[in-house]
Amino acid sequence: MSSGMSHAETEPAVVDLQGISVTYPSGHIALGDVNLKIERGEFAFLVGPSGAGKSTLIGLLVRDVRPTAGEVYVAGFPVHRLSGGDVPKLRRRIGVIFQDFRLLPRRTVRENVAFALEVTGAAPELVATATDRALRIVGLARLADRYPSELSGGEQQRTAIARAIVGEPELLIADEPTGNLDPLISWEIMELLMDINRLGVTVLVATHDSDIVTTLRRRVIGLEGGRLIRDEANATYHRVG
Amino acid sequence: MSAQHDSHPHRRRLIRLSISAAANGLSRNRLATIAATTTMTLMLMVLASVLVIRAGLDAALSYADSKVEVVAYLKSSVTESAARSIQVQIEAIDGVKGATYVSADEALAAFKVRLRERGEPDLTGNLGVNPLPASYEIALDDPADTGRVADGLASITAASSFSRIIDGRALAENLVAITGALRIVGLIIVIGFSLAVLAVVVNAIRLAILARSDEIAVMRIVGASATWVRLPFILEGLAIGAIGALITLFIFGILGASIGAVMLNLFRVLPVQTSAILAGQVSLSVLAAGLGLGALGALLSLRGRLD
Repeated sequence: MSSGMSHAETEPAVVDLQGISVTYPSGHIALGDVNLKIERGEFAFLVGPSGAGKSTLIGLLVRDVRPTAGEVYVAGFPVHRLSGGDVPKLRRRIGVIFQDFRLLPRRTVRENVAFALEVTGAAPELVATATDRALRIVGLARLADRYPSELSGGEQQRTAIARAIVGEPELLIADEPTGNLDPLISWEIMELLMDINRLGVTVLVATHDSDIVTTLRRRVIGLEGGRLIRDEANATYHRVG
Repeated sequence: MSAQHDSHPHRRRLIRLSISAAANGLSRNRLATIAATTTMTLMLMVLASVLVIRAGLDAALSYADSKVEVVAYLKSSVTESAARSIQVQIEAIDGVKGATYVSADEALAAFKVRLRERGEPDLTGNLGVNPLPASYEIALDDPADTGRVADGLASITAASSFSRIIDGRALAENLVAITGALRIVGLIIVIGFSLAVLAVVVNAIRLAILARSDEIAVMRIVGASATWVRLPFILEGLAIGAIGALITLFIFGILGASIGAVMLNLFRVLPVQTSAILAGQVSLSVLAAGLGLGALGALLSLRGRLD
């Protein structure tokens, strides 16, 4: 279930980068000729030093960044030639969580999660059932009426994860999800991401946390200086040999 | 969840959420909202004043235009029979189409009618005598010929019977010049104020955008469409315009009667029956200008920001 290889022939990859380059007007090459496929149901780590191009790559997937060359397909959308009006449709198929959670302080946990669906125009009944489901998955049903300021860092990140999955996305992108959390809580968050992966959601985790990457032995995609320098299954944080 | 089944309630939800977000935004940035609404109100009051004054000038102009081109007032010492004998001399002047004798009694009767039309009290009964002079109202072959006809009147043998010759065309031309100048000045003032209003509205909406930037960031990453992100701010702009327009119309409504009186004093000739039409036109213009400026200000502050 974790590799999704059996469907590779019939089902398109959730992420498919073909010859991608991103060059900024200053001439700085953020990404150079990157080819990358992530199949449905995969769990992959994206690693590399700061400035390696991880953020640019994530930006490409959600169409915050446009490639200067190459083609990007995400969840079946041709992202490189997506019109502005179709960008929201793409983003509804992707959940994103960040190191700094980005919760709305004036809204409760439930309202934060529901907000993500409400603003896409979903019907109230659907919002209610999907919010309950997402809160159950992340184990926050009890704390649904608390405000973010009343929660621990781990609980806040769970809220952000619930918000990211409430629309049942195909792809969950976690950008340094444990950067602000202590090691024990970080492990809980990783367990949760793997649970969500087991529900069939493709998960891509950008991280600097070598312990987690090395312990979990999943696919590791390594960037450095805007180049894809490694892509290994069942790998450790640092390249062996 | 299909779009066809969903589109009506979808729109309702969009409007409901946008209105509540707009109301939140307006009350959260109270100071900017008050500043924008106040400026908007001031501008709309200037606009309404300009429109009212212009309507007064237009009425005065059309009144002057409708009058005979040249009027020759007779000295009170000239008897009616002597006056009537002058008619032939007047009609012999080159360019004169015809002359109508208006006796002092007819002039007084016409004055009374005009007082009644304006709703002013008729105090002429208190006068022992009729103070109005008799006159000839002279129609011309060519309305542009007033100067030549006026000169002709001054040179006939009966010229000494006239107390005053009024060149109606010159009066009208002066009015045209004044109206034209005031129109331009009014337009400049209104445009200047509009730009100031735009700047203040843009500022208020930018503050609202800033205050909600975390919410907007979340809306973008979860895939809210541009309409859902923008509509609350456009509603805020419209609300500022609508509130400004309502305050303006309220104030003008209260002052309506006194404005009418001032207008009559200023222009003497504004026909009373046009004031309802004028009020309607001014109300519509104020409302349209308020909503238009509010929406334009919102669109300008959103431009390129929330893509």
